[in-house]
Amino acid sequence: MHDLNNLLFTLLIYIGSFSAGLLGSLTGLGGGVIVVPMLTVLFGVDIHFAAGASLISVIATSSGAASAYVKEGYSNIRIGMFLEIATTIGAVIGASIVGIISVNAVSIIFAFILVYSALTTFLKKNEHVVHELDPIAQKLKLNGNYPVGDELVSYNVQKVPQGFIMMIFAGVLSGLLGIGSGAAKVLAMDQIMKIPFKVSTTTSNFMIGVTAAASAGIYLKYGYIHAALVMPVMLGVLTGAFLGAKLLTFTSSKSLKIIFSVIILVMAYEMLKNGLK
Amino acid sequence: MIKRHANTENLDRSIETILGNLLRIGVIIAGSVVIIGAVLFLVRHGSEIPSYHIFKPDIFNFSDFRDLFNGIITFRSVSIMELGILFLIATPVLRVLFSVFAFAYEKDYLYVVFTVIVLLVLIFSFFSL
Repeated sequence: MHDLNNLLFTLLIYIGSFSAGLLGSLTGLGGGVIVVPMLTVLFGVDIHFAAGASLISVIATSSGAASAYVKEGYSNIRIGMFLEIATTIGAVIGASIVGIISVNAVSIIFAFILVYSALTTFLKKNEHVVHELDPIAQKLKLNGNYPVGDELVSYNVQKVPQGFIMMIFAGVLSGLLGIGSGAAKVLAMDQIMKIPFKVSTTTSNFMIGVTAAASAGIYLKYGYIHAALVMPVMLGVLTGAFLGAKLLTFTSSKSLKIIFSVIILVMAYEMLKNGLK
Repeated sequence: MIKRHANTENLDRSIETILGNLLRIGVIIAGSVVIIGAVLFLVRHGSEIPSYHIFKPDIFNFSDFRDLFNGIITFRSVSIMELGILFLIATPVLRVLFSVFAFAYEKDYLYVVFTVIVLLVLIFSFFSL
């Protein structure tokens, strides 16, 4: 694929990114995780440029979807802002070590994250509400409520320090791989801090943009952001995700999730192969 | 519908609604600028062969703002796309900046401090080195 001209190359990357954004948004997995393997495995793009393009597309979808999520009334801005301290610090660390770590190691880490992301699709969602009050969560005013049908259900956040540390790790992954790390963020909030799934995912969407912005400064400096490559990726993922959000109300996502997970696992295998070369 | 809202949560919600809409407008502006750059790029360089498989970080240097500015005023396609990308990166940063004022308005000083920390990390990312 190395001898395509700019026009064809841009068009193909746009189509690929559009599909990634569409599937990512329909399945709730986010398109970002599939963009880097698509660019490196299918198009032979260097992993640094691929991570740069992916990172920018992550910011686009996070900011673009923000108003829709606010309207739903699930996101918790205090949880988001507090945990962004962890994710942004992690992101700066992650983005700073990209240049130090070998491309092979990055590919192998990426393969594991892909497998993990595919598995989380089938993870049991945390819907039950914990009634115990955690003193740290109370002090930080993290507890809140969210609409379930016609009622407001309140929830109590647990294990704040553990969740915070997990978020630093999510930030490192985001900076290192140029992804949103939505799966790791939801793991921290949903599984560790016992925040209801809908609150976790929507709050995570807010955090993804800010986290990626923290990596972006460093990516710009190291020259990972290649405008001509970012352009079709960003526009493709954004329009795909936008269409996905419109379609979401009348599609069943069960079989789509299985298809997307299989694609992710194939990509994971290819990334692992690249990493072990 | 949603009942029994605490006052601060109502305020949180309306602030977030405004911010959500601002973010969307930011993305639309950034996307439009990138599209203008993209059209120019494909018209002028569409038949050239790109090489992304080898990492050459020095081709386009964002950190040189004077070069970027010159590129924009001379309608260099890549510079215009870079401007759009910079607008896009600015959207979440602006959200954090506005949140500082929003929490200050609510007199929630603990969260003013948290938000300022996030802002400082972002500033460090862009201006370190």
